[in-house]
Amino acid sequence: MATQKSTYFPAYGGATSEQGLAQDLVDEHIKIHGSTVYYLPRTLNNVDNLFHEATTSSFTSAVQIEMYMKSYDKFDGLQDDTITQFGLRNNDALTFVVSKRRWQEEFDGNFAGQLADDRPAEGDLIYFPLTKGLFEIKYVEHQTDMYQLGDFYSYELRCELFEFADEEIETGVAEIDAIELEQAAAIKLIMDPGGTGDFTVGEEVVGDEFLAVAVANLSAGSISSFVITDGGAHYKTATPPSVTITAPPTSGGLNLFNTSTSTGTYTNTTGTGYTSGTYTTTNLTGTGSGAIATVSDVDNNGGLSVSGGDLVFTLNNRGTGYSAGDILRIDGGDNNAYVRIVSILVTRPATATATVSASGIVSDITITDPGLGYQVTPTVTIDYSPKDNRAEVKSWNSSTRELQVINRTGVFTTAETVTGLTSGARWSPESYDQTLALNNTNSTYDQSLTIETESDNIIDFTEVNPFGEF
Amino acid sequence: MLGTYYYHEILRKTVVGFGTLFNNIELKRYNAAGDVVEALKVPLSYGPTQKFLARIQQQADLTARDVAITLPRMSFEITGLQYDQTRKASPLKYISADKDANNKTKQYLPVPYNVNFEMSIYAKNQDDGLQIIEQILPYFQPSFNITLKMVPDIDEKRDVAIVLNNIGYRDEYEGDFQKRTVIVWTLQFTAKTYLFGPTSDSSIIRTAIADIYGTTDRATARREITYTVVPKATTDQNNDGVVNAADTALLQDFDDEDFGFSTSVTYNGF
Repeated sequence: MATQKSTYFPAYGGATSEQGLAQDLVDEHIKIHGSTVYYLPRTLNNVDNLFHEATTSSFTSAVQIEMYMKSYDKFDGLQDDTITQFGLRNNDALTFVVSKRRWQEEFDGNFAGQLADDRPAEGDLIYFPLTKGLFEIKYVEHQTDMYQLGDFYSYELRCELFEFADEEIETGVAEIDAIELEQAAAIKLIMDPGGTGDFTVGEEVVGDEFLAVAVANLSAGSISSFVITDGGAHYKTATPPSVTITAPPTSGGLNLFNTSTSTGTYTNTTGTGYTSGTYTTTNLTGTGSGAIATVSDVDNNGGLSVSGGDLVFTLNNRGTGYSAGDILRIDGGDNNAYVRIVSILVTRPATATATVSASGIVSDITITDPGLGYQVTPTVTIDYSPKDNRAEVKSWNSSTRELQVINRTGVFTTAETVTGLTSGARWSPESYDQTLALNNTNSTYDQSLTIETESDNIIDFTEVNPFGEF
Repeated sequence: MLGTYYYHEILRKTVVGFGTLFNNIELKRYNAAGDVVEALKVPLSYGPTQKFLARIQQQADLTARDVAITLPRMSFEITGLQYDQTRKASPLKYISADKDANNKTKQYLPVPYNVNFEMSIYAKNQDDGLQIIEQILPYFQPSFNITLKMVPDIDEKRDVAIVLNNIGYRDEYEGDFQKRTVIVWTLQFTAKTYLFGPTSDSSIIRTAIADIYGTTDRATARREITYTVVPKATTDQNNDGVVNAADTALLQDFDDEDFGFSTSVTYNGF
């Protein structure tokens, strides 16, 4: 007859309260003796289901959590860097221990798309600030505690330094994001003189080689039609580009005004002591704000002349929130000139949608709302073509006009203007210097340029090199 | 016996020529919608390196942020040399070229040698490796020719066939989780190059003199007739309307110019 354990005690040892105590002790130990690291959950952007591999991944968040470095006296794995036929390789490996409960507090369900919700995942990264190493979790051992008191209290994470293959690292932690800037494949472009603005590190830049261009026609303050001056290329019919139209002046701004005789106690309608210039205004009635008067001529007493166009409110200085009948004082002079609002601007932004032909050209722009109250012809902006080259700025030197970019999607040409989507800087490549673009400027391993330079007097390419531009 | 110094750097040129074929390979990555999200040049390097140089160049700052390695990478190296007797040429024939107006540079025909190269491609993903491989293989059927300027002294250019012999593939995905997955393609090539010996310079023969003897008895023979042959202009070199000695004096390049000979005979008193 088999011997059974007493039913008055837990089947595998350890009451819930004992397990809780053990977890508390583990957590406390890690907090005292461990280090704070950054944990970077991996997001799979494209999984090849044939070859069972993630061809593109990104790491867009970094969460601080304490971990105990089990490899306390040295790195695991090979102790030294090694020389391989592919250059230098750093073999550092580490084993971290993280509390199971603390893990779940920080991560369980907190990050959409992470590989595993309830445990650390192989493939995720750990940035260890002490060594400045970016480690990849190779294996998560969840049974190291071997059922002490019938449960597990920690995960053991066996890690090696990350093999970086241009994965996107945009965590918002500058120290970590710098790894992508430093290590990602980068090329250098020399820009043509005459550009405007300065690119900022980390911003996205885009070329306009395939960009569609259109202009609007205006009629009675509304858009009557569009003229497509360049249909662009490589747009997608199913996902046409957005069309952005600059807005008209804000509704509620001052439109028509005069020096009405019904100004109540404000009897002086033209004022005295003014000179040419701009003047803020103060409401004497009503709730509007922001109108700024431009005075171009005054009479001998410094009085304003309203009817002759010598007092105007320019397009961007008409304020908001006014109503017909409001009275404004023109600040300045002797503070004794007043205007009465006859009418206000009633405006509405125009909207439109683009149609893309089967050949990928923007063939039509349909007005969905003609808008109202436009004083000048608005600017029409069609979104970039999916094939327009994009990249991320690694560095920008305005003196030498050298732009280094990473994460580029194609080859920038001299025919296009490269625009920084954050900075608004606009420069054109001076020449697509193939020699410069040949070399990965991030890599001391890459000899492509050295080989190319040395071959200049050796190779007799009477025909084009079929392997590239050289 | 051998000690005449010369160095045409032909093996170095062959390495450079071979490397140039592969220094502009591009790789693209796509998102799930099929749009390009990144295009990058695949780094290429000659594999063997001095260890101290690799260390100080590739890891100069020991406190820098660190990853194990960046991928993909391509590497190549020489793995051997063999004499190729199928391309053997006559060792007696030579090539000559003008050194200057009065001298020729001469060199015997080169010796054919095969240089074996191994090109390795290290990728993190199958897709990366396959993209690189597919951009290379179709050009080798099984060879691809490049033209190298072998010996500048004689302006000698030679077609060097780069032959793709074999393709190896290693995908180490089995084993425990801590063993890295390694995807390496290995392409074996043979570059059919030529090694040239030393060059030698010699002056141009401008006068030929032949002495005619009446007997073969060298002790008593007398030189009876002397023939002297020198170049003579046959065209009006100085455009003065006549062809004369002044034109002959202007003859410089006997390879290219049309000229004849003047023969003078001297009878030595018999």
